[in-house]
Amino acid sequence: MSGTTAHPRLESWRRGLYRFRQSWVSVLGLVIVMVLLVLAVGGDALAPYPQHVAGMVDTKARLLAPSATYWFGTNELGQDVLSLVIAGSRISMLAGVAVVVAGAAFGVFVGAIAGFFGGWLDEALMRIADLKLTVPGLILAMAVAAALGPGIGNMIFAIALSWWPGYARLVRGEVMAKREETFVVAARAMGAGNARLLWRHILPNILSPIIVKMSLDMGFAILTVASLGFIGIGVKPPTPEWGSLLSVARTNMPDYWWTAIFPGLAIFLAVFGFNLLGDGLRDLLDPKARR
Amino acid sequence: MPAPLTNDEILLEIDDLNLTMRSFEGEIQVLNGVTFSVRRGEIWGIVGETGSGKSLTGLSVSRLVPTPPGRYLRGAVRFQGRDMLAQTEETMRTLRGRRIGMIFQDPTTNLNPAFRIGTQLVDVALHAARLEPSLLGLEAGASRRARRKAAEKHAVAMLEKVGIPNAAARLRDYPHQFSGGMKQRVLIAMALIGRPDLLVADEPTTALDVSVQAQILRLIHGLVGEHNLGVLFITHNLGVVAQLCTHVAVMYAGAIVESGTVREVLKNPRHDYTRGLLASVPTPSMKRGELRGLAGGALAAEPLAPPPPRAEPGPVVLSVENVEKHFAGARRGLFGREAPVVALQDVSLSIRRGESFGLVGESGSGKTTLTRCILQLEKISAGRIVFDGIDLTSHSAREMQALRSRIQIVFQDPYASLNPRMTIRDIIAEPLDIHHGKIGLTPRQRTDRAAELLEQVGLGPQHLNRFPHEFSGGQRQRIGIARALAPKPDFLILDEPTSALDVSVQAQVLNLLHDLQSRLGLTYFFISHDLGVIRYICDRVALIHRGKLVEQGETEAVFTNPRSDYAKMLLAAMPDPDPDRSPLLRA
Amino acid sequence: MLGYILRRILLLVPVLLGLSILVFAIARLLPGDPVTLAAGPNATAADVASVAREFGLDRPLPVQYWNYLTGVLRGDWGVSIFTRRPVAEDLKAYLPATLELVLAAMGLAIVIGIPAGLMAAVWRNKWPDFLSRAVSLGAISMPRFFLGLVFQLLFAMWLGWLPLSGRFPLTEDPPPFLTGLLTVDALAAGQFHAFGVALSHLALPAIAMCLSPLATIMRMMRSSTIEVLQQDYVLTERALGLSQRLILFKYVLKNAISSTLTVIGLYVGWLLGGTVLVETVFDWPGIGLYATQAVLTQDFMPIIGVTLCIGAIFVTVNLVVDMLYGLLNPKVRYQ
Repeated sequence: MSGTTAHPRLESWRRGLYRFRQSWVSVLGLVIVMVLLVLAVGGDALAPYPQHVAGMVDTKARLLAPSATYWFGTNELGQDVLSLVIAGSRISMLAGVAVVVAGAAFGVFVGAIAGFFGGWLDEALMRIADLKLTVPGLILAMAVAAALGPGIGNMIFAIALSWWPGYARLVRGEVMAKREETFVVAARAMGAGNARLLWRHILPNILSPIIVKMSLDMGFAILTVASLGFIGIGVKPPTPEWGSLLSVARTNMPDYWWTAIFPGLAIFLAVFGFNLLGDGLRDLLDPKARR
Repeated sequence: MPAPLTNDEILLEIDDLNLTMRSFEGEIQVLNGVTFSVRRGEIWGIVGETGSGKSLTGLSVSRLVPTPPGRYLRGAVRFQGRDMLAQTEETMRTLRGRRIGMIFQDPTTNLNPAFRIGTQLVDVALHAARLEPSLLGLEAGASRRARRKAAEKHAVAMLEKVGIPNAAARLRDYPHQFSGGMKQRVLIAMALIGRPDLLVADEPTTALDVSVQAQILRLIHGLVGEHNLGVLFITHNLGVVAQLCTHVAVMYAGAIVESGTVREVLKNPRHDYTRGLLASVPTPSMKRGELRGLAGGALAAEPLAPPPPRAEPGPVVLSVENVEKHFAGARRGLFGREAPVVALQDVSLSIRRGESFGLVGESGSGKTTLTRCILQLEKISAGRIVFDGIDLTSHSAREMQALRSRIQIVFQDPYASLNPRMTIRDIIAEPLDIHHGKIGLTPRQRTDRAAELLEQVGLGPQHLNRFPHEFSGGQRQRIGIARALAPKPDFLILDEPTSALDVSVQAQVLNLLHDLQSRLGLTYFFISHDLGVIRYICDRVALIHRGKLVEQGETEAVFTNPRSDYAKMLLAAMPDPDPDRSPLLRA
Repeated sequence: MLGYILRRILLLVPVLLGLSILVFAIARLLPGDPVTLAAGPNATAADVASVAREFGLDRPLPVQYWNYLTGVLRGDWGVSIFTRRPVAEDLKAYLPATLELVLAAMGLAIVIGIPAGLMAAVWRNKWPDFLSRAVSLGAISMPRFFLGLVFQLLFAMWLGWLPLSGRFPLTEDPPPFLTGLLTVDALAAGQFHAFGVALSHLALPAIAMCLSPLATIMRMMRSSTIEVLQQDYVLTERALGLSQRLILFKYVLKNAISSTLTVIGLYVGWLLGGTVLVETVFDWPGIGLYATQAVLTQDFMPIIGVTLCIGAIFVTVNLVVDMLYGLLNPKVRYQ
């Protein structure tokens, strides 16, 4: 209420760290994500029946309920569901990371240019981004993935295609706001060029919201990958993928529910983990976005 | 029930109030034995710098400090005899708006933007009259409709009283349709619509221009007399206190260091802090370099070491010739646009080498636009800007680049003008980096130069690897000055360099600027709305109003013998820290 | 305000044009040859050519686009290369089912999400807040198709409370056509039994679909309410004695709801696109299921039709949202 207020950055950073450690849910998110990473990297070595992942069929052990031997039961081909779920984490994580990184990289590039230079370039780029936002992402990804044919690469491309406009809009808005900040005007008055303004002054100051969005988007990317698998586009069996595992298991309901429940829970946990982490990161890096 | 109304009834009694606030560093004591009392008809100025606890004192009166994180250790706030800290929330609510009215600093953020001002006024009036329908001239059992109607009538009367023309029609307007000063009038009407006995005003004129400030002060003074109110007027501005208040309490670090009648305290300060505060405000009789300022909560020991005498001003270094600047109008309707906004109109001035040239103007007068035009951050619509014989407006980007190192700027807001992600070394060395071709230093030499600059502005090489957030406002402004000096400019634009600072820090920065000018032979283009600061530091001055220069000349001549009406009005509105010169108190 | 509305409506035209070009380009420029697929595995080159001629696919792309565009304006949205049925008629048959689902889900999400968010903000950092935050994060993370399956398992297969899938059983008489939304039509005709049947089919897919928007709306409402509660004017309102209830439900709500409104607009598009999943799980005869079939067979006319249709609904909804936003924000309105 007096003439000046204390600068919020140090305060908020410290407060964020304190809150991150305090809030056990954020830590839980971090733990889930770490476990997923280990599973994705370890993959076959950690699966109890790696031969099932490779496509081996065991007709004697079809559709067994969860037990000490098969913790998550077996599917209609006699394969260990736990092994398949563990193997599926690799596809999900890989595709999730690839989609987010590709979408973010392109989106940040477009958004930064549009926000910084403004004018007709901004108009043109943003109209294209708006158009992309009008087309439902899932349907676009379905159409593109179906046309390109099955395969992880194609699926990643198809999803990333509808992913960048979100980043472009976010970054454009942030860049436009930062462009008018006094320290950027100060650098311009000093004679700093556009490249320096963007790289040294603007982008480092808008990293937080981008990182937060990437973390939250990881969950949604994994969800989208699984959705495509569930519809039957994208990764096809025998490559184990959570969505397609679930899709195949639908026919086993309700008697052999374990074939569907465990892949579904895996998707949920992965998305949940990234959302918790992203939420915690948001408190840490971008406290104004929440409170 | 309130005590019977007598003229010298004690309205508010704050007794040994101790408040702590919990934060991440632990519990901090923010109020430390605050004691004073307010009678009807008294206007108490609570004056202090950032963090002195003056706002929390004001909020405590209505018990609006959130607890937690706040905690009252001991003491009492007695309003009309009852202990406010012991009342239920429901009782407090019947007092707020009815017995105690409040106004806060920024009129643009204190009115709800989504509702008509009439709605907001009526709701407060209805609240105040809930237990006492007679306030609106109604019987106890009046219908909803009747109450609403009476409240509306009351709101119109109140708006008229605070000087809003055409009040009945304006009830239906939204806050954004009012100017800042008018919004503050609406807020005053809202605070007084419940006929309170006590008015708490927290920096109500800080966000306003001086001319508007003078009007609001006159309004508050008039209303106090008319309604026989007690007032708690919280401010950082000693001039405003001297103009308006009958009593003053000076706060420092959560405690009142001195209190009494305005004349007692401001004319014969007993406490060192009060003396230091008064010595930090530039007054007309002061010569350059005579500001003393504060050190550690007390008057600084002696004036800072005098710099060498300044050289006489040389030939003209920058001339602004008939400059015009228009902005495209806002979009309107289907394809149309409003008429272009004229930000600068036929502005001409010339600045001599080695002098301090002041530019005075209120918000929206075009002073910032002019600096942006000089820096070539905006293209001017017509006219010429000539720097050292070179026409800036007809220059290519490359040629301008070479000139940029000679013209530098210090901004108003020391918090926003430094990149929070860069170290102090990088911030100060950046101009050297940019003008590498011309200045040609190795990274090592740049670091040395940055350290040297830091020492020049009163900081040290130990600060090189820190980040801006680790510094106070005054220190950051010093860093901003060091950065501006880095490419060895000869012309420095100072855009309100002390407006965001406390007076004691302002005094230090002004002395530093004075010192630097004498030592380095700089030319200053000093922009401010504070006439006291301008008079203290500038040799010549120009007044800008609505994009036009209305007067310019030698500072002393303009201040002692203003010719334009605008200059006369501005000078009359300037709050003088001498209570004997207050037109309000004399009356 | 009127000029603003007109300008926004005029701006819709280029957006829809651009959308049609974009969709047309994606559908036609990507690899994959629907003509060969449609002509059948044993088709000769001549057969393929005749199929291509029949659908006008032998002409240059710009001509194809122009023909399509003029057709759409006349109500002819092309013909499915597989079923040979007109796309416009298919859309007319499937769209109401999807709209009913989306409206039900969105309605539930708004009706529950907004008060829940408001409450979470008021009880910030107390147990109702923690509970709703945890539940909402969970709801956002839950895949709709998986939730649908779990619902089916629980409520249809094990408990038998609600039908497993479908929209309206063939054995019952559907209500007379009015809006195409069966629940609404049944109510309008006074057929309460049919309404019950339609509602029981609608319940599971609508709930499965509403959770994610509900959670998002709640979170948005919570954070914007918290932001508004920290505004200076709320302090002024409190300082002048207005009651907590009046401040919250009148002064805060109107300010807080506008940012949530934008989210709601964006979510309508997301829901329309995402019906694919829920419709697949529940065999709900909507455009999502229709689009999936088309995608799997690379039948591009329906794909273009569905996308264009969803896009058009999306931009219209967002136009309405912007108007509402203007109503809530006098500053915008008076521009």
